[in-house]
Amino acid sequence: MHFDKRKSGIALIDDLPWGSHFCQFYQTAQDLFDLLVPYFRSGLENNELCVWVTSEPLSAADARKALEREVPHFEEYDRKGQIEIIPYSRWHSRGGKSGKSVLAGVDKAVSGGFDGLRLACNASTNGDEGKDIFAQAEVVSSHNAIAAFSYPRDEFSAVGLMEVVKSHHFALVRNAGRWEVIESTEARSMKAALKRSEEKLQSLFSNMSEGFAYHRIVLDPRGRPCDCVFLEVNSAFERLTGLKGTGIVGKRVTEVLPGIEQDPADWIEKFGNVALTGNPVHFESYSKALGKWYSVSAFSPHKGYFAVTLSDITERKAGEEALRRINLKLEILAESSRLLLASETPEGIVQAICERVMDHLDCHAFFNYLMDDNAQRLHLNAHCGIPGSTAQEIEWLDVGSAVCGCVARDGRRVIAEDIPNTPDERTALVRSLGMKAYVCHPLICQGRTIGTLSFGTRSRCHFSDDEIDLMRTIADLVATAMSRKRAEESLVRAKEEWERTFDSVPDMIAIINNRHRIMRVNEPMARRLGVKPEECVGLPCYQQVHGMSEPPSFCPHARTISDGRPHCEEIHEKSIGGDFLVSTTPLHDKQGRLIGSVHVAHDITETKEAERRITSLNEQLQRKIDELSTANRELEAFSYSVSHDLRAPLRSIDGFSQEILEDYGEKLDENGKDSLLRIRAASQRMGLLIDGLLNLSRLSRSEIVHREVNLSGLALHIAGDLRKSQPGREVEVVISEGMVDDGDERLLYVLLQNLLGNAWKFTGRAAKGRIEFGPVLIEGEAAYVVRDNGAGFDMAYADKLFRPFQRLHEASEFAGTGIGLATVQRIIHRHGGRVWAEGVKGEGAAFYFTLR
Amino acid sequence: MKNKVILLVEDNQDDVKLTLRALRKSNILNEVVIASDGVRALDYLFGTGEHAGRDTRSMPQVILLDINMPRLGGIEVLQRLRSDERTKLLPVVVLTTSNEDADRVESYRFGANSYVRKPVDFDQFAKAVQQLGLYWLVLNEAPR
Repeated sequence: MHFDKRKSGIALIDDLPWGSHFCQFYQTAQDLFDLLVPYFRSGLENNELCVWVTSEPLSAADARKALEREVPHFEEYDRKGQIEIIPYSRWHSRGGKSGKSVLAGVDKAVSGGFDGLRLACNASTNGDEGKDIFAQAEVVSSHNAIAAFSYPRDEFSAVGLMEVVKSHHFALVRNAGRWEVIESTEARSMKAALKRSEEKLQSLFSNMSEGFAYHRIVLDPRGRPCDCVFLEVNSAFERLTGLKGTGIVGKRVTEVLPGIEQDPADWIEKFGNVALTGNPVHFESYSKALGKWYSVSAFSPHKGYFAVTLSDITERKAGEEALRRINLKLEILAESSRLLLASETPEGIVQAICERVMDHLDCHAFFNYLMDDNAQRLHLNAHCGIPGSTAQEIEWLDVGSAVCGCVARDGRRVIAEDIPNTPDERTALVRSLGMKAYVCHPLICQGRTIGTLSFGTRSRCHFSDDEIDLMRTIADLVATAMSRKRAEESLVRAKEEWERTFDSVPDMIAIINNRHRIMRVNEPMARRLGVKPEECVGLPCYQQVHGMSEPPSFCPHARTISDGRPHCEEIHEKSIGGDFLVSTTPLHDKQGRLIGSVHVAHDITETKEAERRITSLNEQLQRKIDELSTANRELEAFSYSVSHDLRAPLRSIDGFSQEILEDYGEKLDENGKDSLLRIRAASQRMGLLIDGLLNLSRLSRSEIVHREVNLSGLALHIAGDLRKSQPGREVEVVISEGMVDDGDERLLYVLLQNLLGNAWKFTGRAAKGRIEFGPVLIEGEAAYVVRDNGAGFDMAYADKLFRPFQRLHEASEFAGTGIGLATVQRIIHRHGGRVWAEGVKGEGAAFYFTLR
Repeated sequence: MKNKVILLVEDNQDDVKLTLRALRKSNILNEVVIASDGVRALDYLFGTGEHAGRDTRSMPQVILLDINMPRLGGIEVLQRLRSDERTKLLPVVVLTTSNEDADRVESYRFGANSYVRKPVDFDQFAKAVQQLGLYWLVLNEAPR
């Protein structure tokens, strides 16, 4: 590998790899100069630390002089400390014997920023020195060092010479004035093997897919790594880093990739550590300078040097990052849905969930509005990222206003991007809160928008599809949780309501399956059976309710489960105390199969009792009616006989009294005639009384025929009759027009005949009689009044007025039977009305009546 | 006028006497045949029973018929008269104490020509009888 080749400076042997050591056999000091001066010149010119250990016949001073003479700018190398010329004795005292002095030289080369160590050392046949040489050669071969060991030729026998040659890779010997290379067979075969292996390695190096680079570390004056130099890179490295080998080999990393010393990955420190300690490292890191992720292995083949293999894992890293984000998202979703599912109040944990989402999405605010059904406005349920005062201001939001209000109204999400540069009335609020991008999703529950969930960021103007998708999923999760919760609540409420209703209905309800087993009963039913509701479950209803071993014949449930129709039955069950109206309604399962019935027993014990009482009362009433009808019939017969049989004798009394008066009048004195006249008058009066009584009884018996009756007309007619009966009287009769009412015309005629007749009669002595008949309102009730200015009556006797045969005046004063007002009252009662009178003795009377 | 017979069907002898008196007072001198109940009235009219052999071509000018009578009442008598060709058109005046609507309606329904209630006051009764006699015996033209 070419980075490992060093220019030997000796024409005969050309390049040498690090770790090479060879020997030289000399006879004169000139022999040493011949080879070692160009050897060191090449070393100095190729940034190697050069150490020349001299011994007889060459002094250190001679060696220096030779170099000063032959090497251009030698003073500079010398001043840099790149060349050290020391006598063997000092070298030996540094530990040359064990190779420690070589190691020290290698260390010094590294710390001095040199590529490696170039050593030349005089060796002698002295046994100790020979052993020293071999130890040193061992160290050289495993480090970045090249060494030339010089042996005085004349001191070796042929065998000794061969031994020395075998100990090194090759030997240089002056033969016939010319230098020749002598290699042992062993060394030659080793070299061939090495070459082959090197070729393989070279091929591998060039063809390997991993990038490979070989560096030397550069230390600062305090010995700490501060830079490194590219020594060799393969084509994969060039491809992976985009750096060209020709442009970077030999250059410092800080020069190729300026700023790498500030890279947080701290490349130089890491590699320096490898190069100085020899501990390999493996890590993955991001290079800011190259903008890529690399998987890096570094090891140090020699102190101060390190090799790096690297592969580009940017894509893998991107994949890993994407995977990490997906995992995180899934984790958030899983956690959110776990929390929401477990929560009794999904509203309460929106905060925690959204804060987590916000973190993940690099958002700075979120708002969760919920629809308040009473206020018909949106209420801020949870929020983050805004000052408390702002939260108070936007606690309530009208539907249709701002982004959230529009989303709630339309049920569609809104994505607002690049808000500062996109004028939109709706985003005024979030713009004022510094949001640059804002997404609001509706919370949809059973097709109804129940609120919104929105996220906003102040750092970016856009959200990725993936991020919006996460927000949408969270919104859906929250909506589902709330919807589930609400559904649960309403289910529980419905169940409770149902149970309360079931138990508070006074009727006894049982759900019975089609094998007559009780599935459920309500409280009243259980109470009536004297057990707890749950104790009835599973028992046969006929046993529990009727104490029977099979359903009774009247069982409506049996009929319902046989024909699938509702049935109703009145049942008397003494064991639970009464009569029941039992209705059974078929009960079907979801597939429509008949599985039993709802058995409702309504306690009708009281109703039945009342019914029985009513029946009994009705029977009694019917008996009374029958009795009354009989009595009525008897009364009719009685009235009839009165009308005939009582009147006939009267007629005889009157008729024969008249006969006596006419035929035998001259034989009677005045007293006898008077008595006969009195007999006649009395019998005639009795005839009138009988007629009155008959009329009265007929009024009670006759059927009423209702129709519209013109009272004004009847009154006018009656007044006309009255005038005709006594044409001489001057009475003013005032009858209001248009009095029309509902009643029996014949009876109302008799009524008015009596009232107007009375008025006519009792105004007989008034100087100027006046009779009025008209409508009047008495305490809001329509009534009629017949008023006169006649004799009037004393109110003290007002209650006697309407009794039959009660008279308040002497018969001699005003004629009459005393049956008229009794008739009036009977007629009014038969019309369902009232009649009453007001009067002042000597001033007049007023008779009021109403018709229903 | 004398050949015009009045048939008075009345069970109450007081009423018979008073009716005859009233007729007399009104100067109605026609022969008055008295039947004390419905059966006797029909016997007379159809020449049966105690009146067997009577010339039934001679019929009363008017029949004064009481309603309430033993054996056969006035309404039944009226029905029989109106269903027999011989008596179908005889003027019948129902003369009764009853003031019952039912009686009045029944009487007219079965073909009474007039309905007069006997008042207690004899003067009024006499007046009514006078008017009756005047109408049915003098003014009324019997169908031929």
